[in-house]
Amino acid sequence: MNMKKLRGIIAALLAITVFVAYSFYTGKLLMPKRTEYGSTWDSFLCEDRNTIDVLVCGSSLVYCDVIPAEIWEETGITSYSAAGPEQTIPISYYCIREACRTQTPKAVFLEVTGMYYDRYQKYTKVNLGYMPWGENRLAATFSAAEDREVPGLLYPLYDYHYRFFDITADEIKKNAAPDTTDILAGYTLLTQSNKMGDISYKAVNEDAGNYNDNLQYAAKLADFCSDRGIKLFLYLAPTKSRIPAALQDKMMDDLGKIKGAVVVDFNKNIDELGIDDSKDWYDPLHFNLYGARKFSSFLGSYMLSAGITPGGRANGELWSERAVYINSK
Amino acid sequence: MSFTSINFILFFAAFTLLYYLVQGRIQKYLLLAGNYVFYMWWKPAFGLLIFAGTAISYFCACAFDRGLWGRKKFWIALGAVYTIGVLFVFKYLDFFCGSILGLLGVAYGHSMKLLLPVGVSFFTFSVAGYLFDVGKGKIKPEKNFADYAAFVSFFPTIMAGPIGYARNFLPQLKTRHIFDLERSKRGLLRFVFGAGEKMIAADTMAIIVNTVYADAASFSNGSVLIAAMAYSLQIYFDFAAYSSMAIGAADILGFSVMENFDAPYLTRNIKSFWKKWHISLTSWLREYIYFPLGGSRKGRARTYINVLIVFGVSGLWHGAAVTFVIWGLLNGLYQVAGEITLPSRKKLRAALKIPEDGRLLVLWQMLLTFLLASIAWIFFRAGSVSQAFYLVGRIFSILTSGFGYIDPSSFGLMKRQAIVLAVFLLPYLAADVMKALRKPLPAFEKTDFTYWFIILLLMIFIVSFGIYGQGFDPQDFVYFKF
Repeated sequence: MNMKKLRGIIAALLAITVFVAYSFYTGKLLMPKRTEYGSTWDSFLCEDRNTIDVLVCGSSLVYCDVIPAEIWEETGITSYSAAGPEQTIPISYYCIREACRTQTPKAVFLEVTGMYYDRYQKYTKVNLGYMPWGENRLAATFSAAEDREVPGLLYPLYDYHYRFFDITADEIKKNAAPDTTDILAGYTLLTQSNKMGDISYKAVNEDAGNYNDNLQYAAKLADFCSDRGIKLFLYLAPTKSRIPAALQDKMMDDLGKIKGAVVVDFNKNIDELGIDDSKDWYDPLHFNLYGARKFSSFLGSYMLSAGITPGGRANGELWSERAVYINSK
Repeated sequence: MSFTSINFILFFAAFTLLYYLVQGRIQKYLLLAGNYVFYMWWKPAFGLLIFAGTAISYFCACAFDRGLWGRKKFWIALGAVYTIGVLFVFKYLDFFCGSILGLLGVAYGHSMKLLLPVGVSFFTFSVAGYLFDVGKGKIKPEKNFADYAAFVSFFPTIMAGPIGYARNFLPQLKTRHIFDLERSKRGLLRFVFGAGEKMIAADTMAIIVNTVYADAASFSNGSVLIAAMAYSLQIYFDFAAYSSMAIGAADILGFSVMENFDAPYLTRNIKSFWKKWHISLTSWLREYIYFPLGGSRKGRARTYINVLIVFGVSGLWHGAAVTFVIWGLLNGLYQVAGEITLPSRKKLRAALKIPEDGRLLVLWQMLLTFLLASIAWIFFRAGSVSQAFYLVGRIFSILTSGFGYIDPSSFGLMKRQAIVLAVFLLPYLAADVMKALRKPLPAFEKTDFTYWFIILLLMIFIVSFGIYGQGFDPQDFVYFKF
């Protein structure tokens, strides 16, 4: 190969490398930072490797209801609310796979209200856009994201380049600052109380194709967990607005047939939780801080009774800090 | 597929790779297949339309050559009637029915709402031009159907030109194209240059235009003038961008197609403007309408009438609406008025001792030409004749009421966006100035690091500041409507 050709190739490769690097870092800089309401991957990746005993995954029914600091304080079990807004079952599957690249949990708790979600909910971009780059993100993009979101998920500048025109210096500093652990370990603190009445039943997506897809992903998750010796719990969070009874029963039956999965409906334990309908709810689907404390404490006890024990790998200082923080609220 | 879409990038990359890998005649058939895949991507049924037009015009040209049934001109006329008839049905039938019935005082309530095949005006003229050339003996009819079909459906130019001339294009199909690195680099640079022109310059200008045109009454006279000038720039960048991308894509495949723009806004009069704007169309109109009508050979009055006819046809070609016809005729009137007043203007300048090629005069003439073109473009862009006259009226009332308050923040652009636009326009302006001064543009494809640095810079600008993606409203290429 002569020098001119070699120079040409080097110049082309250099240009491509600079372009890819520019696209990657600029996309990261322009994406709005997420620190609450789920999908907080940057903080999750700051956790010391292999220190999380339990991953709790799913939708807002996880990040509003499960306080890892509360569970730790009660039981010594470390957990993380690795959830996203309206996160679908397929996305949760990839989320857990990705989380297990840096953690070796003993158990995974997947909240299954998403079995009756639409194939694509409103927050695909949020739930997948912050996932670290790798095979899980790519697989999720092509199998769990709607077509119109795919370009932006593969190339974040596609969705966020307009922010060049209005991003402030403060935002740039914030986005460029190193990531830190989340004091709440994925929980989103809600203090507002709304008085709740009787249980109601909501309309859900009964599309059989959609439901069966979700069932398949739940089964794939069970296989994934089984291969790694992880216990899988498929649970329904306690709520005041529920899936119609017949559909819920069918769902629990179907999930119960998945080999290796423990299926539990925590609505049946709602009396045990001691929930005060006048103080402990944020809305019919989500607990506020007070309700979440009660549920988390109960969940911690449930974990112990299910044979999950503290791994003893936790960063004691970090978790004590978390406990102090949540108790101060 | 739009040239600025991901689908096209992937299609073109895969197609080009395959194109240069295949041997012999397969390359031509691959080109033909690629042409049809490209066109039918938009709407498969219209592939039949192109194929029918290709087959009929091919047959008519061959029948002319053989004197089938003892006839010759008949076949050219038949082919032309079919070709232009298809254009008429899809583009003008509704308009003419509505106009004629309107003149008779009858309401026309049965619009056929035919979907206009993208590029129909362009490939119709390519085919019609071929038939006329064959009829006049300028070229022999193409015997190879695949070659002819590839010419008609050539994907870089089928959607919005440049309008192809068979006599220039068909010979290029006779040999297999070998990969030429420098040519491909040149083509790639031209393509990316055009992409930036479209995605940043044209589509950002469109924000200003759309904001003001949506509610012109709430903007000052000066703001309306700015929007009118912004539209002049929008349509130029938009169309020049498409042409650049088409020429660049064709270059990568080893084909030369004609240039379509030659710094039109840096001209001294409307006559020159039309020699440098949409060159392939004006050439076509000159060769197949103006000259057959007698051109300038039948006296001054007839020349002026011919000019008005040609520009009327040009207006109609652009769209089946009175606004387009007015736009066309207005440009014709500019040209006629310019010719009529030229001697007296020259006399006046001589009397005032203003040198004919003095810098100030040249700048003044360029500004005036730009303003005249901008006023005419108002009819092109406006939704109705009344809106167009309203906007023109607002601009002329600057002379009596002044510009009024111009609020830069009211044009729909963010401050940084306006700065980026201004900076980005500089290389395009520089390129046009060099063209106007007849200085050759630098041959960046001959260098390595400079070439790739320019490509990198353009790409970074496009992905950072281009109008694309969610949250933005990327405009279709303006000339896709034609």
